Amino acid sequence: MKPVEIVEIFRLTRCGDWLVILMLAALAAGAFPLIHANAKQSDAAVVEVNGKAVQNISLKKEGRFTVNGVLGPAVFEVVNGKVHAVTAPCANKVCIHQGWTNSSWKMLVCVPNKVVVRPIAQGGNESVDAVSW
Amino acid sequence: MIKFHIHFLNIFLLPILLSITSCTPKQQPEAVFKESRFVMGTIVGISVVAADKDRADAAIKAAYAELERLEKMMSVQMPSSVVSEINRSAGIKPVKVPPEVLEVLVKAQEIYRQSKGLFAVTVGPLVNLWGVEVKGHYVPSSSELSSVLALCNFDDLEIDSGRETVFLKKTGMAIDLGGIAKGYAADRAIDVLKTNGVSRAIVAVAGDIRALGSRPDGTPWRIGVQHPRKNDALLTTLDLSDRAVSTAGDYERFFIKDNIRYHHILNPKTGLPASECRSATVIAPRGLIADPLSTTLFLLGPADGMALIESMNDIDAIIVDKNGQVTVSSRLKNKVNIQ
Repeated sequence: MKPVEIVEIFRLTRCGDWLVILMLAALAAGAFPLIHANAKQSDAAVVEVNGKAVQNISLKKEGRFTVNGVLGPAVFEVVNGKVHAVTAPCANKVCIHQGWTNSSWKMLVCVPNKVVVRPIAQGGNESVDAVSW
Repeated sequence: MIKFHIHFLNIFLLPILLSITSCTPKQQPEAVFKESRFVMGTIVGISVVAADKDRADAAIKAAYAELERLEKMMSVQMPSSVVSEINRSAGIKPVKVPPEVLEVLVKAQEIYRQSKGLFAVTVGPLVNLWGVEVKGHYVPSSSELSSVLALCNFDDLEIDSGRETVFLKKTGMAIDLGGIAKGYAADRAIDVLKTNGVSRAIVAVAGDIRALGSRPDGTPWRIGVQHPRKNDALLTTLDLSDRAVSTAGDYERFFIKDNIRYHHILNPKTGLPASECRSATVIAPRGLIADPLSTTLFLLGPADGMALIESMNDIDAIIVDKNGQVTVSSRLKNKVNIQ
């Protein structure tokens, strides 16, 4: 578009047109956080043992914590806002293979030890209802 | 011309914008009630849409009771289960089985035939030999494998639907329903929820999911599919209503020894973990179909696996091959966005 055309548009634009443009801009700005809500990462997680919540952990605070499952203690670690399993008393170590998470759809599960670390969805917004894995 | 466009904006867009901005949030009388428990040797999540918590809780409780009932029939860990009794009676006598076990085994037989003999619930001796979940980094020798493979032939499993009996012909044979029971369990849990008045729900028996109806807002349930190599990423998301989805993959129950990945999905012909795929996801009307087919596709590999799916009605699949190449079935191709 040439500069002269831009000037012409501004000359012809009326008050109502500016109102429409402003409303569009406001809508876009308002929608942005809603669109990106699902992409937000959790900053906390709930730890469950045998189906019961035993503690909440902050994913903002780095360090290790121990969870006493039905088989024995399991160690988890928080680094850079994510949590992962470091040690598990079971044989299969599936929870260690599950790697790091800070997404509400991705929980760490140790079935034999009956331990779950479940990142909490930001504002209750779940990006998906379930995950096939 | 420019003037015309600007007035067009005013006339048509302004009322639309005003109507959007004046909308008040729609009241949702129904909510999603969730619970998860350890049952069937895994974690099972149930989400139910209901107007009141008591009704949802009663339905969820009934669904878990059904899963526990099925576990008592189909678990290989429980010595008192029907499957354990079948295995103990191998080479000795047929065992009378309940309709649920018969239904699962008849479907397993059908898939065995469709899978060129690769999906075999008679892999029990092989599963026990590898012990991927209990023996650590143990790789059996070729002589160990060949001695066990002789006990894994599905054709040596005799299913008598008329008498409702099952017989493993050779001593040492063993059934393992790990590749089919969870999908069936998801179906049965949904059936129980329905009889308890629920019309919208999700049951996730580990990664074997069955969706009933829709979310409270009427949109389909959104199901993520785990990326097989990026553990904190989804491969894609699926919009599902009244469908089941299952994924078989090499990324959770595995170990790496001498730079080789050994996992739990075993080829009953070679005795080795299948190596053509990283994951196979199947979307089907029932979990009883999706669960065994996902394992079948993983064993068949991307070309034969997708050919099988394309020959079937109303079933879709996503396969990630050993190099990370993704193949999507033709009916699903334009409906998913692969990450």
